[in-house]
Amino acid sequence: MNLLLAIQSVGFDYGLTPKQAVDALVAGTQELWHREVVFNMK
Amino acid sequence: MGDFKVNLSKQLGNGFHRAYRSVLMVLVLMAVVVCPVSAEGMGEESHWYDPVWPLGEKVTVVVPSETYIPFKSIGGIPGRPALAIEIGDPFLGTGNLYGGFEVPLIGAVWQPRFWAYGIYRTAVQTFDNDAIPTGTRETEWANRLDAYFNLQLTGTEKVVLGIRPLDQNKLTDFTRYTFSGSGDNGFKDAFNIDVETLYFEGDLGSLFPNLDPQGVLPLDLGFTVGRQPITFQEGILINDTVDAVGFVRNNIPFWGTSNLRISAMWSWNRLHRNDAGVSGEDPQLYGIFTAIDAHTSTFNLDLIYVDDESDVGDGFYIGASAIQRIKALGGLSTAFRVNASIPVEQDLPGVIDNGVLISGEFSFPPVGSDDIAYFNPFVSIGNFTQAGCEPILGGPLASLGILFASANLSNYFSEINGFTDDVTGFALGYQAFWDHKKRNLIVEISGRHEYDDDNSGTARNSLGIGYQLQQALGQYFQVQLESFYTSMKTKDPVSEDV
Repeated sequence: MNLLLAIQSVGFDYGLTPKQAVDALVAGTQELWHREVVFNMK
Repeated sequence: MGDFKVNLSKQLGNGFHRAYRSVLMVLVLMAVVVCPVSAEGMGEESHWYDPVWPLGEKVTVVVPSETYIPFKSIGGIPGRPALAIEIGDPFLGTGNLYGGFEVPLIGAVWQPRFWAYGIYRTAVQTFDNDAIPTGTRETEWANRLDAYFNLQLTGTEKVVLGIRPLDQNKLTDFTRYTFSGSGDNGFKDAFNIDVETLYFEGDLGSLFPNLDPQGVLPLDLGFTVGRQPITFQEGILINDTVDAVGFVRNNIPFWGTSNLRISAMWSWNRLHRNDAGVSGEDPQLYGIFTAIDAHTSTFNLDLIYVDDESDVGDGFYIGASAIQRIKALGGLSTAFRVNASIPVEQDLPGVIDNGVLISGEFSFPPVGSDDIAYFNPFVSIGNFTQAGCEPILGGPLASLGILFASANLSNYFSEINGFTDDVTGFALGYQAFWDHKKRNLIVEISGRHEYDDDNSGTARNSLGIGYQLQQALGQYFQVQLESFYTSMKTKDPVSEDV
């Protein structure tokens, strides 16, 4: 995920937007454990 | 590739009251680099400490763009920095790879590539050492070249040759021009073609695929043989270049871990025991090194035995560490280390002695930046001695702070004594980044206190402040400016001659 965010400025092949690439990455992961975390973003 | 460095330094005996000169330099420097940053409005509530916290470039949370960004390829992005010599496929290049050939008998497919590269360091530096009665200002132009020749056979097998043609691995033997100092002024050369590095490394399964065509035998053993740098426990336990053979087995299944790695090594030559210049009669070093990736921590347990037939005697060394991120204070990256040296036959202070060095490393990135703030305390109980240390390195404390680390470049050694004999101390520092990480500044305050009155060392207490500013210029050059000021309180007061 962090790698995709770091390189998104050079774009992705196959016409993907960075958001679509991130969603595809998340969709392809295997969940080992689940936890909900709240981020306080300033 | 290379860097250019200017060192301005001052080491002062007898008291802590004359540190103002470098402090002023640091403040001026901080003002220069901070002002442009503080002027960048981030559209957030301002605080009185915004200009200096975080000190570096402000960064915001990056979210994935929902707008299509055209894919950039060759011509749209900067080219790679090519190496000095590239024969065969280029290093990190693009395009089709050479198919290679199958080696008879062993069955491996080799794709030979030859790469040569180097790091040239040149520095103008001046250092005034009033900590010793004969201390005088050393001003010199020093040079060092690390040249490497890499024959890559496959992705894992390679032969590496390294030479340092401008120095002979001693602080006094660098190619330099001395403007003023305690020795002879003028040019001194240390030209040589001594082999500093020459090793062959790879993976047995990859090197001999015909031994296991089905891929079912446990042949995935990494190996290395030859002259090579060896570093364990961040260089606290051993930080030397030795002739050795070693094997490593990675990814061993072990309950409760995601990875277990075990390495074994035997060295038969070139061990520098604790940087004392005493190598015995080619002492034999045997080591077993273990790394475990557990749920929250990475644990390391490193064991070394040195069999020395000379008068120095044998020694046993053990290093243990736990590296993890803890929740305290909003999240801290931490490392806790315990390293011990145990003489088997006799104590020889400075070479092999009884001692335990306990150290911690705490760091965190200030919110809104990629900076790093760190605090590294330590205490030694007794005289901890390293199993091996390169003569130009700064001792077991070298990894804890820039003031304990040696410049590894001519007479300019570590700003504060990096060896341990009943001492306690710390390094407190901050590293800030700007210009997309092309510029960074480290500001550090470090100190050490010898708490045993019976110690023979001359420096009882040391307190230093220093900075190191690095700026990348293009893809091949880096300029570095650093200076420091250290005050020492000596055991036997020396004349103050500034």
